[in-house]
Amino acid sequence: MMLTFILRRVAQGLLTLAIAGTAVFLLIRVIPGDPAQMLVGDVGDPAMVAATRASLGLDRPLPEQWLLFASDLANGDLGTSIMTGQQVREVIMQAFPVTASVVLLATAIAALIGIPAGMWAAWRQGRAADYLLVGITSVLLSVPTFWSGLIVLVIFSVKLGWLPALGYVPLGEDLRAGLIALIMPVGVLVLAELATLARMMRSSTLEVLRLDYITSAQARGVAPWAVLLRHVFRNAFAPTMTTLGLMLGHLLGGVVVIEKIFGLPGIGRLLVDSIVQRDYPIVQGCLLFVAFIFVIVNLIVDLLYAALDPRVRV
Amino acid sequence: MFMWGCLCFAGPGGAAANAEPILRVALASDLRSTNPGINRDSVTDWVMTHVVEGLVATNAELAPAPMLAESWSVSDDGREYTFRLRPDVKFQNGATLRAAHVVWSWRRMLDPQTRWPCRSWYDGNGDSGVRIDAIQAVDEHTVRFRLREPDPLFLYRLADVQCHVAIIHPESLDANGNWRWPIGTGPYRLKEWRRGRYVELERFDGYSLAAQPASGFAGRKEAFVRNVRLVVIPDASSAKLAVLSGEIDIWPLTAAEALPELRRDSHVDLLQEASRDWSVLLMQNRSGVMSNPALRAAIASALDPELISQSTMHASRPLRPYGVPAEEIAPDILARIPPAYQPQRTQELLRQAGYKGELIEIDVSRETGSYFNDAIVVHALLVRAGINARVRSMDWATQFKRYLGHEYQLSLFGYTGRATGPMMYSVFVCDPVKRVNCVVHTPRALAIMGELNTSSPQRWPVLMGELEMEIAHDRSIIGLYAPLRITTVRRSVVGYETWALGMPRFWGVRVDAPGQTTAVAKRLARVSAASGQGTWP
Repeated sequence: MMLTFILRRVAQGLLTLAIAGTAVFLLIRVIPGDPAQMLVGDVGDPAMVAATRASLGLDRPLPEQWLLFASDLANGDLGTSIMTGQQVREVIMQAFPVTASVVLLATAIAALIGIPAGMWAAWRQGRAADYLLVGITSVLLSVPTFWSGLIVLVIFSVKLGWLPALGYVPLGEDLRAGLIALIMPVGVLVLAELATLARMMRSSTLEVLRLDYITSAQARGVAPWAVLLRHVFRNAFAPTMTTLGLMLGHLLGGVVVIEKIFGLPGIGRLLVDSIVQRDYPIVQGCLLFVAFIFVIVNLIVDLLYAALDPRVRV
Repeated sequence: MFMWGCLCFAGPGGAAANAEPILRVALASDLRSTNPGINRDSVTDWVMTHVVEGLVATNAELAPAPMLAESWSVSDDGREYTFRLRPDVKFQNGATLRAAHVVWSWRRMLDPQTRWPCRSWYDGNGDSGVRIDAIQAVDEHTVRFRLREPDPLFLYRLADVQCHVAIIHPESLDANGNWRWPIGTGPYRLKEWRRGRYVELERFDGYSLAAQPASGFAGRKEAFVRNVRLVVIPDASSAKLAVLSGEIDIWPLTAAEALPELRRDSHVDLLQEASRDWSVLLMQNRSGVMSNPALRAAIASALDPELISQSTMHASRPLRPYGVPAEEIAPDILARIPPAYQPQRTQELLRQAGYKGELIEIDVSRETGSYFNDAIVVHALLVRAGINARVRSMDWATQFKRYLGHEYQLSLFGYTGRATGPMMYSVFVCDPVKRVNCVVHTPRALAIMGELNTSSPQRWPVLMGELEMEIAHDRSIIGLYAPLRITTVRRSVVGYETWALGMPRFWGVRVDAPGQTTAVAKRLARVSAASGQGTWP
């Protein structure tokens, strides 16, 4: 039964990718702007623009362009950047680790703090700890990252001089310098994610705490920590895990504001810059990659969900 | 906790205080490529001027001056230019510059396969009709160019930054003729390019200094700083904070909104100059309601350029009604050019135009300069004059397409400054059959432009005056102001100067080592001293 479930989910994922690929291909061509003109610049030479357009294959009929795109994609070729001539796959593989290192670190920290905090606040509902958590998370949810990012930069870089304002260093290149460079972007993202996760976990825990089997466990004299960990967590975590999966998929697609503020060459910045320059292959590659990440993360979440709650597999 | 944990783990030291200083410069956008002239934008242009050089270069007076060529002669018929190369000039791979390298570099650029956007300047298909018939190495140090017709602008074209022909070593290309890496003769070599992060230039110790004093992009380009790191910081607020924290030494093209804070900081100087760039309002003149010259004159009469130039609160831009600074135009003709702004005539002109409240849209992009602020002021002035106007905000690619396709009605636009008047005017005064970006194309304007392209510099002031007179009658382009180029420089930097073309240059610049130690580095040095651990990277 589990195998059928996995195969069905994988087939759905592939269909999603095919639809996303076609949509991306068409949508980028719908918006005004000509990559050949952007590449040549304000020279005004129509022959040069036409030659550039032909060399990029943009003078062919749209169905032919789509067939070429699809056949290249089937061979694992995402094409080359119009602006830089780099392989799209190579460009994405340079940008994605930047975003991934920020997002995965931030999500892990946010989950480690937010999930227990949400459970604890629900357990202490109506008391000081609960009010404190609700208050803090309300503030965090109201603060946009572009503002908190700049404030953190002003405090820790300009005023205190503790941390560098910019400069991404890959963790594999220099772990220490890489971690220092990540402190502020990760910190800002943790604040944003933590509030969502804590709130989600609090509300789902409250729902579970109202169920009869919890009352029964408490009546049997089971220790509070044991009630929370053994009886509440498994049921209350499922909705939070879905949120976590969606959040992870969304963030891995690029944290544009944070990448811009902290000068991180991540996939969000790459995507926005490529849209501005009408670099079709990069835009297509990035969006397909983001869709792929979404599909994978959601597949994992679905499988974990099914493992946690066997009813889902039916 | 996470932050402190990382800080303690990091245990960086104060190596910055001991190491040779590095000059750190903010780049608003990354390089387009390392292939000079081929895949370029203005940032790529000025970064690459540190790495590669041409036969001549633009000096501080905006005239062509010797660079790789120490001298040149022109034949009596004006068709042959013979350049004598400086001896002992080395490429960054150690090879000595020879005339054959110049011929090879030029032939590569003129080869249609190279797709050099400026090829029409020299293949006879451009506005001026200039065609290079032959490029020949006369001997190891002499190169001769033979033109089909004489071209008074030839040396100026050679020195142009946007259409630069860099003399590079053939090893810049791989065996298949694909671009690898620039090997030029400049004072810095391109050491490293980490896309989206930084570009690092390293002093080229084998650089052969020219005899003439440094001037503009020409002369004695002595590199004092061993390494220049150009850090990509797309966000203006982050760039400002990086300057204030001492992590960036120079911020070219400082954003106007950062000025109030920067002015209060005692560690930085703000260098300001009016550039040769030109901010304009384009008025479509080919179709629709805007093809009516009386309506264009009415719109022009309602626009107060003084108010528009003040749309950015933190920096007032000098007015520039003409394509070049007024002092380059013959004063007697200038005195006869009617001003565009005549509010007392607006209603009369609108009546003449038969304007019945048709909607007029103002194209603007938020991505380029402060044009959106300008658009708001233009809109307010038009509405006040009774014109039904609307601001149409779009991204740059869309605005650029509408500009080239003449799909706009009004468009706030900017032209990058060129060293000479003829080159500046030729960007927008041209034959629409040959080029799609022509804005002014009346028969008289084209005739004057033709004369300007073939006249000696002595005739330029008069011809540019006549051209401005024609532009004033056509009213398809309204000159607004010269954008300010503001550069923020930390006081630890010595010798950095701005100049008429406004492009940064890092030769002749030194960094005061103690000033290099930023607040961050100082703090981390203290942490390091306490923990006895490694060095700050």
